[in-house]
Amino acid sequence: MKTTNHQKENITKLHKEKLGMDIPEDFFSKSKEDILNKVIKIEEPKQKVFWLKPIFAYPIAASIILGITLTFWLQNNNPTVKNDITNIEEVTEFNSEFLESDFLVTSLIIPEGQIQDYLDQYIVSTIIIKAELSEQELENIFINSLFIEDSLLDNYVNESLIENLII
Amino acid sequence: MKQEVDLTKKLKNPKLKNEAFKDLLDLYQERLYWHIRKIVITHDNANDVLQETFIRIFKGITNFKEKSSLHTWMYRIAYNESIRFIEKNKKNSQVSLEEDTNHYLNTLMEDSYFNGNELQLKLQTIISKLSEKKQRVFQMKYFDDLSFREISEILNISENTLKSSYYSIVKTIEEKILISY
Repeated sequence: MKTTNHQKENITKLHKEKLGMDIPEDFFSKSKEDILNKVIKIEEPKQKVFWLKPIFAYPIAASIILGITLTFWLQNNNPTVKNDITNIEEVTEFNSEFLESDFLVTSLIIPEGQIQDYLDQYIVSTIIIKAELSEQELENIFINSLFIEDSLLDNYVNESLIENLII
Repeated sequence: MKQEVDLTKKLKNPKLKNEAFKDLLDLYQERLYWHIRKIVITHDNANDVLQETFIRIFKGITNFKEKSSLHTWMYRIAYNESIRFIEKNKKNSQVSLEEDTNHYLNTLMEDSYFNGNELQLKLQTIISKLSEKKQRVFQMKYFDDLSFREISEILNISENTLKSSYYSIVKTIEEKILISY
C-alpha cells in the first residue's frame, strides 16, 4: 500500500484507479467558473458607503445646517436680494409699483393665470386705498375747519366781551 | 512554502484578492475536491461542499492568522464543511455512518460517477468498516498525501497517535485484501 510520486502527480487518476471514483468531463474548469461567479455575487452587494466617524460627521453636519440657515436668513433680510427678480411672485411685487404708472403695459407682461390676482391687487392699491386716503383727507379738512370755526367764534366772543366791557 | 506566503499576502490585499483567488483555485481546487469527495462520497455532494468551502475561504481569508500553513487551513475548512454536510444529512435521514457501514456503500453505489471494479469496491468496503476517524486518517495520509503534522492540525490529534494509528490501519487493510483473495 505505497503510493508513488508519479501517482501523486495526478490525484484524479489516483482516485479513479484505487477507488473507482470518477468526475464529469472538464469538471474542474466549470467548477472554477461557478465558484468565481458565486464569489463575485458576494462581492457585489458590498457597495462602499461613505461613512464618517462621529467625531467628524457631527461637526460637518452642524456646519452644513448652519450654512443653509445663514443663507436663507441673509436672503430674507437683504433688501438687494429682495429686489432681485427671481420668480413670478417677485415680478408681481415689483410690478405693483410699476402698474400704478402704466396699467396697460403691465397687464401685457403679467401671465394670463395671474391676471385676476393682478386686477384685485390693482383695485386694492389704486382705487380703494386712494378712496380711503381722500376720505380721510376730507375728514381732516372738515375737522380743521371746525377748529378754525371754533377759534373764530372764540375770538369773536372774546372781542365782543371786551367791547361790551368797554362799552 | 514561499509560494503560499506570497499568495496569502495577495489574498489579503483587496486589490489583488480576486486574481490571487483564481490562482488559489488552480492550485487547490482539485486536491480539496478529492479530500471532500472521500468524506461525502458522491460527486454531486462533493461539488456542493467544494463550492461552499471556497466561498468560506474567500470570506475568511482576511481573518486567517497564519498560525498554520495556508493549505492546512483550507483543508480544515474543507473537512469541517464536509462533516457539517454529513451531520446535516444524518439528522434528516436518521442514519449514522459509524453504526451503519452499509450506508457508505449504498451511497457509493448510487453515485453515477462511481464505476469501480471488484478490487476497488473491496477497498472501499474495507475503508467503510473503519471508524470515522480512522477513515479520515487513512484517506488524508494515503490519498491526500498530507504530513502527520498537517493531519494532526486538521483533526486535532497528536502526531504520535496518528503515526501509530495509520500504520495499524494500513496493516489491517492489507490483511483484509489478502484474505479476500
